[in-house]
Amino acid sequence: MPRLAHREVMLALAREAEARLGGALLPSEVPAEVTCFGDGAALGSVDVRRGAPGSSIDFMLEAWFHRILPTGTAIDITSLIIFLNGTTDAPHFLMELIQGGPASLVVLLDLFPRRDLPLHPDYIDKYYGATGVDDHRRSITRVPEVRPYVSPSLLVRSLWSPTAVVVDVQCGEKNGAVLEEIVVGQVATSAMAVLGVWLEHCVASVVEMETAERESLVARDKMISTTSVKPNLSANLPKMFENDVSDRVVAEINKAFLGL
Amino acid sequence: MLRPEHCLRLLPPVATPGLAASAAPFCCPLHRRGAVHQFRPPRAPALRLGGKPSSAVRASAGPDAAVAPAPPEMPQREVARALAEKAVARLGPRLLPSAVPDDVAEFRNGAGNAVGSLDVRRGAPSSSIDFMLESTLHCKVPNGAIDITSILIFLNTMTDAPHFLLELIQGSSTSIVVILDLLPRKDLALHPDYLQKYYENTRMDEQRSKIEELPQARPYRSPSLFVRSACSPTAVMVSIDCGQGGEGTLEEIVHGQLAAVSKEVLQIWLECCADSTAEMDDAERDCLLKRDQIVRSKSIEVDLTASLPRMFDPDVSSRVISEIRKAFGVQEP
Repeated sequence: MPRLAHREVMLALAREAEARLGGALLPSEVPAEVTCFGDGAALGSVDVRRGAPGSSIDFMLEAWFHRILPTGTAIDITSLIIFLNGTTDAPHFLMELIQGGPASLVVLLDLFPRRDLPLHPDYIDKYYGATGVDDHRRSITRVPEVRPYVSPSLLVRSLWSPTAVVVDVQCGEKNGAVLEEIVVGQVATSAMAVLGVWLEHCVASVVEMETAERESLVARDKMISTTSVKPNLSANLPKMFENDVSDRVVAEINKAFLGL
Repeated sequence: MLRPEHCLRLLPPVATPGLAASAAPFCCPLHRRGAVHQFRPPRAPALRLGGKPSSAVRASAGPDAAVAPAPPEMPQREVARALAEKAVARLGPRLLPSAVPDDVAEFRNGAGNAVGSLDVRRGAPSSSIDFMLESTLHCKVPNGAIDITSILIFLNTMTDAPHFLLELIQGSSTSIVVILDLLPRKDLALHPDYLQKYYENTRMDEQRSKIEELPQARPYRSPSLFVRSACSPTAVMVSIDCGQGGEGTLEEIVHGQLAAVSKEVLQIWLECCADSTAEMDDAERDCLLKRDQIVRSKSIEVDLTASLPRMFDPDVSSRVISEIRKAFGVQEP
């Protein structure tokens, strides 16, 4: 499996998250044939660690998928998603990197909001204003090759926070080296910085909530998982892998999100 | 209601209270108010979107009144005026006549380098319109002028349909910031049917594309995180920059693509939102009300209380802000 710069970025973040979260994460229970699957032109890995009882973590999911198309182009999709549970209203951590060729990369990086933001301006101030997380978004958007990525799904667009990095890095056909530089440089720096903000301001943020409020927060999480996050993650699997493989992997992803 | 910080930095410091600050422009309100008023001499330079441009001559209220020249007729104001007229015509008796006092309908600062206008029309009882607000601001700065034009049409709880917003912020003759949106009033994550009805079925996104496709357009990110969160997924939020020597190109774009798209979006709003009513239970209505109140008050807070005092004398800006707060139904602090 050749090294891929953006996958290395995700793995570095995942190891950092694990180191900082320590005992708040239980060991993985994912079977071996899901933590590493496929062969030849299609390879992948999904690993899930659930939050320990008493922690604010629901689960941490690391995934990467690699497929070489008949044309010879490689598609690589890499995700790191850390969901929090009902003990806090703090944002989830979400990063997804989608590379459809050597010189272009979609970067999605966000402290994923869990409330209806216009109804909760104090939530915006607490997690997005006071943390200075917008600086990291700005750093990435200043790179000349970076332009906005406009999702064809209006629903997906409406879920991002006001400081989300939702960009397309386009370096031109022959410029894989330029892309790699940007990935190991600005993308890696900003991603690690956003993870840092999340670890510092979100994970430990215990929030008192009335039962009804907590229930509606959790219900909102489920709704968003079901209509958006989970489908986006799983959608490409049947196209990239054999049915039995993708079924097994999708099942494991469902388990993570549905808390089974 | 969304001022870019870079424009604000160009504003002059707050002027010392001027002698002419509170000189109320003479008014000629007949065409506007529909009510009979005493005859008075013609109004000072008309900035108002509903008014006609007039000469720069005005009878001064005081000996030291600085006469600000009429702000140049600008494409952005023409575009906004046309939109406002279209909205008023279509909404007809659902809008009450304007009740804004003269010294708020048009206002200026003592130094004579800033003029503004404000028109607020409340919805008639039993209409779904809460209010329609139109405002213009023109302020001379060292290298030119800042011009800001806004149209905001808010609906009330007879419907959950989106509000209409247009804001044009021009800090130079070659660039303009455009914010054009149907502001959502529900949590889109939880109401995919709302998203479908007002944003997918209306093909709002095609309108957004038409502006964003312009080679001179770049995304505009409001410095206010709240404002970014309040806009819809199909909002037009761009900065159109035509570069040095691009005055003509910008004018063409404003009169052309921008006018066409904003007219189309207003049309969509008039057809799909202005006429809509929705059944809701008390909990839903309370939530809607609360959300609307927050959006309104945050938009005043973010916007006008910051920028008006920097352009106008304290008594003028507080009068104007007070009038706007009244329209918005926001409690005085």
